[in-house]
Amino acid sequence: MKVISSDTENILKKHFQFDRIFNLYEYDLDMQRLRLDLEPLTRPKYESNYRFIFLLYDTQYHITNDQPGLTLLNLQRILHNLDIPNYFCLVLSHHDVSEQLRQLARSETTDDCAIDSMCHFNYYAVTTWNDVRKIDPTLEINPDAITHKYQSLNRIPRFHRRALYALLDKKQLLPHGMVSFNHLGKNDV
Amino acid sequence: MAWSALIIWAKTMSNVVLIAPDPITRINDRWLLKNLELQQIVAAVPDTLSYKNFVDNFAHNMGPQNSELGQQAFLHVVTETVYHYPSTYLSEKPIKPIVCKRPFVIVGPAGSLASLRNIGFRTFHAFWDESYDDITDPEKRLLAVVDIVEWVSAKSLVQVQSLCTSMTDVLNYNFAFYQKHFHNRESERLEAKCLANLKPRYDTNQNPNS
Repeated sequence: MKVISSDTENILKKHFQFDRIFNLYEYDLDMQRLRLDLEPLTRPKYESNYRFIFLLYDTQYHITNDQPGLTLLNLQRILHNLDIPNYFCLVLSHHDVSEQLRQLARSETTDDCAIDSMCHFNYYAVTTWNDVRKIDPTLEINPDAITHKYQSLNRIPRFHRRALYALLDKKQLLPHGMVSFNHLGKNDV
Repeated sequence: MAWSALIIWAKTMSNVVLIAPDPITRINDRWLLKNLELQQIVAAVPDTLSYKNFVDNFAHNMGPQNSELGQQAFLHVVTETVYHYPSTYLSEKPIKPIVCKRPFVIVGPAGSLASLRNIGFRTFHAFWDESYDDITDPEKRLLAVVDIVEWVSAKSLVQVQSLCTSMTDVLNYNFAFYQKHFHNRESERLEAKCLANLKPRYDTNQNPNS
């Protein structure tokens, strides 16, 4: 799954030395594999601009909302176990995980600093739905095209979507909108 | 929260204890509904319910290639991947109405609109109450979003079309910002963050190799 653009990768290459970029989504169900992949890259010393770079562009499981997510908890434990200082690690994400990383540095390590994180949203540009290269720059607002008051598409039936659907139904708002819930169409994936 | 769903791995060879959630429960997408009436309303939705009240096989692939579908509705009620979550979480979903030139509300973590504004997009506080974005109580936040949907639904189609026209500045700005500037601006921000990362950080000036 490609989550960062080549432009983003080039910026990282300009500033840092790294062997590869680890997409944490690919390790989510077996973080031991991440440890195995990281181990050969460990060294007694690192160049000052060497970085282990991790992408976190997916959800994590939080036991409670005041605790760090399990993906970052496991990552911190693996890095500590492999004696990789936090200074040489970097997490790119589309949400702010800096406080979680500070919490983990305190609770799981004796490291002087937390893993650094950067909020970076350029991955939008490489997702199929929002590919900037496919946008028609001449698109008009076209208010006459409006046939429904609102639209809410809810393919995966998560709890908040269920609650929303239930409320729209209860308030008899469904006929005013284009609404889907837990529906897999012919071309939906 | 489903503690029973957690699997604890203890690897003696590497001496590192990792915790993994069951794949099915890996997203915390439940929160406790306090309001009894709301509990009953939600519980009444059958687990097997599959609903779609319009015809379009590409509904979930809306985007630049399929702006026609997105333009058929006025307000886009964007339901994020997560809702009751420790931080804001902006997936690609809010970009869909932007590339269709339509306004949106977000059913997502508190602070989602503020994060979008921080990136450089504009939101719709001039047209309806966006204070729902500040409500940390998940139940109250959802009810506040539904209030906006109800307000829009009470209008006639002509009124909604007129409201859409009155948003021209914001809709065109967001579209142009995403199409022309967003990518470069994010790259510039990343450049700055990379430079900051190379400096000694936090409370230490010690050699990190020591």
